[in-house]
Amino acid sequence: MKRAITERDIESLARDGKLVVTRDMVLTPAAREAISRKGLSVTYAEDAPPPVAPAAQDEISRVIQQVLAEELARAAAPAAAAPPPPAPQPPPERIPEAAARDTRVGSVGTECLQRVLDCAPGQPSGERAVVTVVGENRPGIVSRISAAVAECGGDLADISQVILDRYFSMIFIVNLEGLSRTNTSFRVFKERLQDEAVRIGQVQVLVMHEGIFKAMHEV
Amino acid sequence: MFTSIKEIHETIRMIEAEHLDIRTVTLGLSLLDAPHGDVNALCNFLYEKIHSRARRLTEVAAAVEDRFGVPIVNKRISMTPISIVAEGLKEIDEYVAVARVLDKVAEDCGVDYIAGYSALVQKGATTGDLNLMNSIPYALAATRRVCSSVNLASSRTGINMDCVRLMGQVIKELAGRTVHASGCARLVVFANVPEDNPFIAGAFHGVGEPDAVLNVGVSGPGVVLNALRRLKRQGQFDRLSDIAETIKKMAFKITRAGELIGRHVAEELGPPVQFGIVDLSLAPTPAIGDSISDIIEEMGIESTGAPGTTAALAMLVDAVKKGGTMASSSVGGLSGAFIPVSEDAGMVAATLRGSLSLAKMEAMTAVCSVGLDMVAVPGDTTAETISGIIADELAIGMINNKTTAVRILPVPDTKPGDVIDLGGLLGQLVIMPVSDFSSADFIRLKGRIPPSITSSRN
Repeated sequence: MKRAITERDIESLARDGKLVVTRDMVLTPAAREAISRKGLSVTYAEDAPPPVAPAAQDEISRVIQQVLAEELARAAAPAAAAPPPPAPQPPPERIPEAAARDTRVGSVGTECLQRVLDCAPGQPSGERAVVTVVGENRPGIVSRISAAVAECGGDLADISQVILDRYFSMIFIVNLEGLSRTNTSFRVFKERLQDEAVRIGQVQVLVMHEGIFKAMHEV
Repeated sequence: MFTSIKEIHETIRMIEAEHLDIRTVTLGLSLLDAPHGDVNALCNFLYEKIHSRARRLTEVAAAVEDRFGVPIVNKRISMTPISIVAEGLKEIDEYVAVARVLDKVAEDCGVDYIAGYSALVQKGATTGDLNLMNSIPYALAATRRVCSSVNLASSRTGINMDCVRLMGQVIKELAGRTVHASGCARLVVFANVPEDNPFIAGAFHGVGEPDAVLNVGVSGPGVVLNALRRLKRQGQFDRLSDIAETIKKMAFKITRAGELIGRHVAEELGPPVQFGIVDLSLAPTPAIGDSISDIIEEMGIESTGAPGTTAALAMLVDAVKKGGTMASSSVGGLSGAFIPVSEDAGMVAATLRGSLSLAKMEAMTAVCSVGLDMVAVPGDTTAETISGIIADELAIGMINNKTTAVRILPVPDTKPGDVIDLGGLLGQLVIMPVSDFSSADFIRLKGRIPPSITSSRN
């Protein structure tokens, strides 16, 4: 579950002019501005030398390449041939470049690669909502809305924030997979956020499934 | 991110400020399995079947509306033409009873209109067709939700002038039986009627359709209007091709929204309901800024109806179709732009200014999707003159291989220039002057106007 880090949280989290941002944090744009204003240095948790990172990375790419090689070999094999047994010899270290660039229609290789890219870490493939908050700026709005999101089981994936004079406009992208865990329907999730907006006062919250944006803007 | 911030803001602006909505989700139901001959059995069947299939429509539509944040304004039902379903009935009273049952089931399903009290008589009328047409004044006067349509002509068959003559009388009779002729707002006559149109009053479920389909009618004149205004503010409003491009892009987005909503409503209703089509007509409402007339005037016409109006409308309709067909492979219905006079605040204003006349309306209908829609004329207009207006409009459709229609209200005790407020989506009627010269002798001629040479295509 991610939590939104606002401008106010910066003070309490910073130690000796340094701020460590872990994977479960989402910095709001205002918080980012405050960081640069205060001249804090930011360390991302994954920047710290992870114990097995390079090796793990190699392992992942090796597995991907192995899968690709197998799939490509299967696609190239005659249709009548029975499913080939596991390749006796070790898979090639690298996919030959020609095969990697294979763009034949229905090429298993490219499809497979696409699937891998789609499932990049931190980008769950489930449903998402776009939550837009507009209104008069005052402290606590981000934390209250994000607390309501978390309460319903939603997970903040990203935040965009614009402040103009007294007004602000904020967009949250929320992963909805966790809603089922708290047994919350989309409608209840939406009502919960709108109730919170009423309690905050002078702000309007719009909750829309991402499907509408994809439908209207992707050719 | 999957969609840019600008695109998110654009979508929200289109919905919140520019009236983007789904005008209607219409559930089309086949009633071809109805029992024939016995009015009691038929009425029971109609209630049961329609209620069982459509009772969840409003609830499902509300849930989908909630999910995507796009308002669905109307939920409606269309049916197999009742003239076919009720062919075995003998008495006018029996037809009226059927209409009242339909009214009741529509009310119980929570929909505002049920359409398909219809007949297809482009080549000739069966006894049942004639019974149904004769029953229309009584059936519509006895109900509030039932909508009726009659197809009087097609490019293949020509114009059935016997029925054109009859429908002139039916419209006059119906006008006298309802307040301000408001019943006539639920009756439309067609040439080349589409079988999958979701828009009331002309909707019905064609005989070539499956058991149950969900068709969607989108809206969005406000979205197009504001896009053109932005183009103007950016100083890029001097090339027609740029204007056409802008309209196409907006039509694309509107259509995509419509298809998404339609597919989800169909899916949640479950089998046998399947998604049918998106009708990408720009449909105005009386709300300020949700007007086709305003778009025409934004393009540089001082007041809709002035010379140049037909050309501007032609470009608008064509751009809408191009954008829409790029967006979806399931485009159908009427698809273009509606110009219902009373339902479009800009059209009402243009009529009051004297720039928009019945004759200019007729010319405009040659290039847009429907026809003389929600046109009000004085109550002393004769049935023959109304038939003459219908014949002219249908001739445009018959010769040009397009749908045309007439929805006309001869409002009793009114004269040209009078304004009658029908309220709600129906808007304000401005009584338009009609030619004093008679067409009665022509209308009395019997038979069909033969189809044009272009009908011979095989």
